[in-house]
Amino acid sequence: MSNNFPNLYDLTVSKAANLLSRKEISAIELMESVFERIDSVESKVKGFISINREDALNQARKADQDFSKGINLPLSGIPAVLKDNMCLEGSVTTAASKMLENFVPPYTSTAAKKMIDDGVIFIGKSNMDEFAMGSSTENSAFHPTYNPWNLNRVPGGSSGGSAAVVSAGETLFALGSDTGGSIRQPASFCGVVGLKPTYGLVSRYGLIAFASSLDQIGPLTKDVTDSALILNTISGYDPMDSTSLTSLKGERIDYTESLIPDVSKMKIGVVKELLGEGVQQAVKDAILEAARKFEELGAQVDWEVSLPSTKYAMAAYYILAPSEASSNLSRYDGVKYGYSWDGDGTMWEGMEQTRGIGFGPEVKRRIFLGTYALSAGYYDAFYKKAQKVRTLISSEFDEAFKKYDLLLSPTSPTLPFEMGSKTNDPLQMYMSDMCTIPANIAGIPAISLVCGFSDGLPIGLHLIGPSLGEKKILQAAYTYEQATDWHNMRPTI
Amino acid sequence: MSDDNNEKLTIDELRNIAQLARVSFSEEELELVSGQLSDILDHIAVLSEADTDNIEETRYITGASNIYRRDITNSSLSRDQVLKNAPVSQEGYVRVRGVFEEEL
Repeated sequence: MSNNFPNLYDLTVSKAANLLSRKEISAIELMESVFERIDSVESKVKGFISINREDALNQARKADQDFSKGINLPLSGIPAVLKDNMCLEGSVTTAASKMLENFVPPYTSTAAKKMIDDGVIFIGKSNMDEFAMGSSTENSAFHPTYNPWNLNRVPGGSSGGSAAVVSAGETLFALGSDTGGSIRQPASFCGVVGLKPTYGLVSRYGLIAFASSLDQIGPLTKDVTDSALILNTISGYDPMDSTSLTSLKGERIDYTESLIPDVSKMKIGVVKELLGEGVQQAVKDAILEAARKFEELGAQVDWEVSLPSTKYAMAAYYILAPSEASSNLSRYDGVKYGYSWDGDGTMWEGMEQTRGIGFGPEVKRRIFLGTYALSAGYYDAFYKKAQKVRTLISSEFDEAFKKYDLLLSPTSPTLPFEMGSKTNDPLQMYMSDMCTIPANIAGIPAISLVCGFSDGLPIGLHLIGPSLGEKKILQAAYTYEQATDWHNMRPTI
Repeated sequence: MSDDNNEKLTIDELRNIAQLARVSFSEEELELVSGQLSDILDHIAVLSEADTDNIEETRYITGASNIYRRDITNSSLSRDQVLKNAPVSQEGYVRVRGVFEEEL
């Protein structure tokens, strides 16, 4: 296997794993290269909330000892980053909130545990919008993260730290979570591959809850091959998550089987509603060009598929997600864990002050919105109506997938926007997820991968598949990637 | 949703919601947020155009039903591990503010 990149930190997971297992490189060399990169760019990117350098270096030395003994796990010695809303026992896990600034979880999330069991070394926790609420990572209570392609632009969100550190070469891959686009939109903005799996494919145990019926963990990687590799490890049934798909019990799926450069038997539909109003011309051009590429590669492309109810997706989402959030976040009361206001006052004052001080503005907005939607007299008009619209959207996808293998759209309607440009206008910020939200509403998988650049900023192609259609998505994405060179582009920081 | 085209959330309504949600607030905060939430509610009002007659609401997107397990005790976190994150603990318990007013 040839190495296109002079620096080890630039390697993909698959190439690094291969070189490690053949002892052409050592885990400590790889780890030191990643930390050298962090030392040279992290002060500009600011993608991390915490870094466990000593521990990571020790684990890398241990991995080398294991290699020399012939012990070789699939991902031994691979450096990785965990979004800071996934629990890692003994490591501060903040969800980028003052509320959890000092929270040290007593257990590890299933997704992280599975990665560790396969040999991965977590080097740190990445920045995000507080409690995963946002599309720019500017809602972090600690500091913003900057887009490696242009430091004046946002990296997207809420997994903006994860996307930025993968793009900047500060890790080989990262895990993120996606409730309305929080893996795919930052992947698009930072020019990496982001996969949101089918709801229930990856356990949510140990993921700090935002909107439980929508949240899903997935990989942010440098290419499609790595996306399949990481999905192999994190997917599967988990009795600790009651929404984990029971059909997966005892199953071990190999997603790398789908890495075949062939779309000749695929029918792909371009979603009309996701290419209309609000989509920048440069984005539209790149997406149509990508669709033409699929046609050239032998796929049958239908240029105008209509999913009329997707126009309600964002409205339904901004009822469902805040409603679930207002309930999930009621646990932060300053009693059992997290920030606790220590002034003089009654139980109620203690709770109100704790939550008023501990939560940032966007989190409060969503708690208020959700509380309003669920309050007496409004429940039917808001929550119940949104759940009905959810059924409409799901059935339209079901119908579409009887005719098409995959649906295609932009990941984000716009290029990465300027820092600060949308922070005072939450509705404009929400629009950034208009193309990604429908897949969460329907619980179906979708991927974002680079399909072009405009003004030096990456553009993401969004492929949506039917429930448990990850293999189709990965095969089409892999075919596109093999026929193009976008995934080999790296930012100059 | 009301028949108005503009969904307005008044400051008084928001004050009530913030109290229900147990979140302290300043008057400036309420003013800013009521405007922002009104914009968002305006956008959400589009839902009333969706024809949902005879449509069942989604309960579980995966169609999952109840998940049961045998009623067997498993090991769990120790008391010390659980209390490690408690803001104030005492003699193996979480210490809380008084719940009832003193009446004696």
